[in-house]
Amino acid sequence: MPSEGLRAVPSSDWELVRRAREGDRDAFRELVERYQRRVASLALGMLRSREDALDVVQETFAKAYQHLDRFKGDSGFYTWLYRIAFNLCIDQQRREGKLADLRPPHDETGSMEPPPTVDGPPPDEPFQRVRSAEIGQRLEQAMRELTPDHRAVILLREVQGLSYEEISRVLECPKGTVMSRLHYARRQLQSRLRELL
Amino acid sequence: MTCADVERLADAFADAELPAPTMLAVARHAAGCSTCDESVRRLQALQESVAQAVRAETDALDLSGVWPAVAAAADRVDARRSWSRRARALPAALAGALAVAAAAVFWMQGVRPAVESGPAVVVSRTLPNQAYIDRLAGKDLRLRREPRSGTTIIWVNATAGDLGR
Repeated sequence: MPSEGLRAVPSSDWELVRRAREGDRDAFRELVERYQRRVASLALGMLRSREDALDVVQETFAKAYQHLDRFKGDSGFYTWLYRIAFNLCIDQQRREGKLADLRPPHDETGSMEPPPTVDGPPPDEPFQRVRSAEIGQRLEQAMRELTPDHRAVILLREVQGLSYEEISRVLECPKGTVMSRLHYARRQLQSRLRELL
Repeated sequence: MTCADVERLADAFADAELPAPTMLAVARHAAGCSTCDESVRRLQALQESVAQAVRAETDALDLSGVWPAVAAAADRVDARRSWSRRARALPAALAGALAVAAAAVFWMQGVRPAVESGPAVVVSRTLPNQAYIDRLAGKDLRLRREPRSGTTIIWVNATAGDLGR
């Protein structure tokens, strides 16, 4: 009789993919449930709209199911998923014509004048909740002002915790580009949150 | 390691993407340099703030509708695949069916009793060994086919017939 302390070892992504390819719908469901929140955080961070983000999450997994045989296993399954989700986010933004407003004002490697910032609370402000709310609002605005490529690199690194190598696979760009985009995006965010962080 | 080096490496340091010796060198410098230490801390605070803000938003999302929608999409994909497979298999199945039908027609023509309504035109072709075969007809014969060579061996019971004549 199995002990209560024993737990079933979770199947690896690759094992679930193999079973899903053979028609095991439960295996694919497990993959969806394993990664849906992470894909949602990328989509929500990219699109800043809950409805659009949910659409992208559903479409990401539908596409993944359709093209499961194209997943070679030479990178992580989640890397492959993020690539699908990122491309769908870009498509979504193109459809809505948002990309034109999100071009970087300067070259990402060049220096840039810090944008005007709203005065933050004094350093000794005891109301941390107010402070957190303000950080959240400023971040929201600052993230909106980043280009999709810069926003993606921030989300994949800070939220998803991907390595530079993995991010370069998701965004299909060299590792050096990932590093320069990350540096630029962080400086942009820092300049918006100067008094708060 | 100088302050300029740390400034250049700060992102990779905060992301733990540097080789271990370089990580250690940056950490040692930052420990003794308040400016670089502050720079690294601000970077780490930004990382935490972004992660917390996005995760809080995502946690509030109701994802209960995702799987039903994905399952419905998967059903549509499977249905399309099924039709596609049938469409691909159709030419071969059609050819097979035609072959069977043709064979059936030929067979029926071969076994059905000839009901002739008029004078039949019989086309006969005499094989080179037809006379010999005619002589064997009605004798005690046994056939055996060698599976490897494909050779057919015919045994004839000499006592039962008049082959020698």
